[in-house]
Amino acid sequence: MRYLIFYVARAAIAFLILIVCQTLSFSQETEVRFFGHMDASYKYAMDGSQESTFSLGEHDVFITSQINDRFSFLGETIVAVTSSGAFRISMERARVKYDYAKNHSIIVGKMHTPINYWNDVFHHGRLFYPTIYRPHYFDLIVPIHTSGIRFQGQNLGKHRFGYDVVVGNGMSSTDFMDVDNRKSITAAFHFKPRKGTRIGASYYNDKLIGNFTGGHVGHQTSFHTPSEGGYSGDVGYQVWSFSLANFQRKSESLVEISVNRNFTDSLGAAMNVAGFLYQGFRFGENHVVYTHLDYATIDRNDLHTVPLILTEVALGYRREINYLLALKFELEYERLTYLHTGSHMGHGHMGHGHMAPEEGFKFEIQLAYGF
Amino acid sequence: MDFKLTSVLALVLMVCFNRVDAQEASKPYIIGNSIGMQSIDDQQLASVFNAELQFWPNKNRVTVVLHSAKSEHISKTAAMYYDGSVKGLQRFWLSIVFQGRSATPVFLMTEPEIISYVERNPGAIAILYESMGPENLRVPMAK
Repeated sequence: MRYLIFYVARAAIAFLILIVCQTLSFSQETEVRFFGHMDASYKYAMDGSQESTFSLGEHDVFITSQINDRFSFLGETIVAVTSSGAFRISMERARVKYDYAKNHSIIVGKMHTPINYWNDVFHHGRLFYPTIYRPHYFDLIVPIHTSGIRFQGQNLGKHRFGYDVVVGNGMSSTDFMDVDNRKSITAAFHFKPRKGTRIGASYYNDKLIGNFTGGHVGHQTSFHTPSEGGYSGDVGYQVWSFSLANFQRKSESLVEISVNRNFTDSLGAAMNVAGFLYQGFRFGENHVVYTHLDYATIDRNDLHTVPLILTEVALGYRREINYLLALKFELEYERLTYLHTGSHMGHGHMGHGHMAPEEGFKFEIQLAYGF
Repeated sequence: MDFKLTSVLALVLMVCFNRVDAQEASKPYIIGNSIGMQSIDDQQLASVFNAELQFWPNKNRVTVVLHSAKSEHISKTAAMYYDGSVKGLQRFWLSIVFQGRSATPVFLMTEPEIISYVERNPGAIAILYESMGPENLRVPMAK
């Protein structure tokens, strides 16, 4: 039965790709854009070690097409360098949107979860990021992608209310298929009291059968339990998030808070909290001086995510050369403390096996561009 | 005498009408094709140019047509809806399309090109600064 579902799903996806490609080739309103970034960094750790590097960042092929009045397609494929130095191609978004009435839509495909402002707005476009990197909660708490169906409404009424409800593959899934019958649910709403301001909240619910970690868990999978060697019972996974974004002409701020409850039969509930505060001040039209605080704590009881406390403070400057080119400089202080001396998860960062914090400074430069 | 008086009066009238035309042409005018509205007010216009409206009341899809960044008129539209910044206008649309929340607007260099595009595409809307546009496309501003 499982193989039958596998083959039917594969045939359906192939058919969908064929239809989309065929439609794209006939469409008159197809646009292709590219986004990318390059980085340089110098790290100084408190133990005296130093490291400096130039690196090639993600390069992003972005396609949109208005197929007809009601249907549109959006695709985002990135080429990135892995830690081993090899290039990796990944389809980050591939979605067909059907606008069925006024500002209400149904979206199917692979998409970013609408869990908070950052994930819903910036995606993989470093050009749009106010800082150099994403907040750390994407590595620890917030599942970035899902494949499924999304019901969306936007700019409804006087306060521009918006909603997103997503039923999709969970964190155990890959891009191709889910490993169990359980689906993740995301419910999010926001409103925009004035231009540039968005206030929103969301709830995410999933169950990881056998604590299996798939491709949708987050961008830094080494913080999550591997499929072998760790806790192998089920994990109930819930995330509540709140966002306040206020991007005005002279000042820009972003507050994101996520609370994650992981429940296991062995140790019960683990409560994890992550927050990101960003404040920038714009001088003239093109210069932004900013600071941000990134904080996350993962409970000792957590059997899915590596228990830790992470704090990062940064001071940065962004020069927007034009709307397609930005140069960013950041000085960061980061302190990372693992809360387990043992390695019950037996991999990656947990393998350090000591309580001493990793602490240090980092200076980074990023050139982000689009065309 | 009568001829002279008539000529002077005609000249004065011509100058007056020409001045009115010049003033009229310097104001922004809205043109739209089958948008299902007899007139449009400031708030509705702001919604359209901020990508907040996907469909007109007659269910035609909204297509925003803008002057290209190299046009001298784009700064006037930017002043009205995008905090006065052409870069802000470009960045706004790039970002909203990247989010998947709106279709890409159409950028055209000249007003004849804009008029021609609007004429050919039901649901298209644009702002003109050099002329009032064809009468059948004009959308008066609601008081």
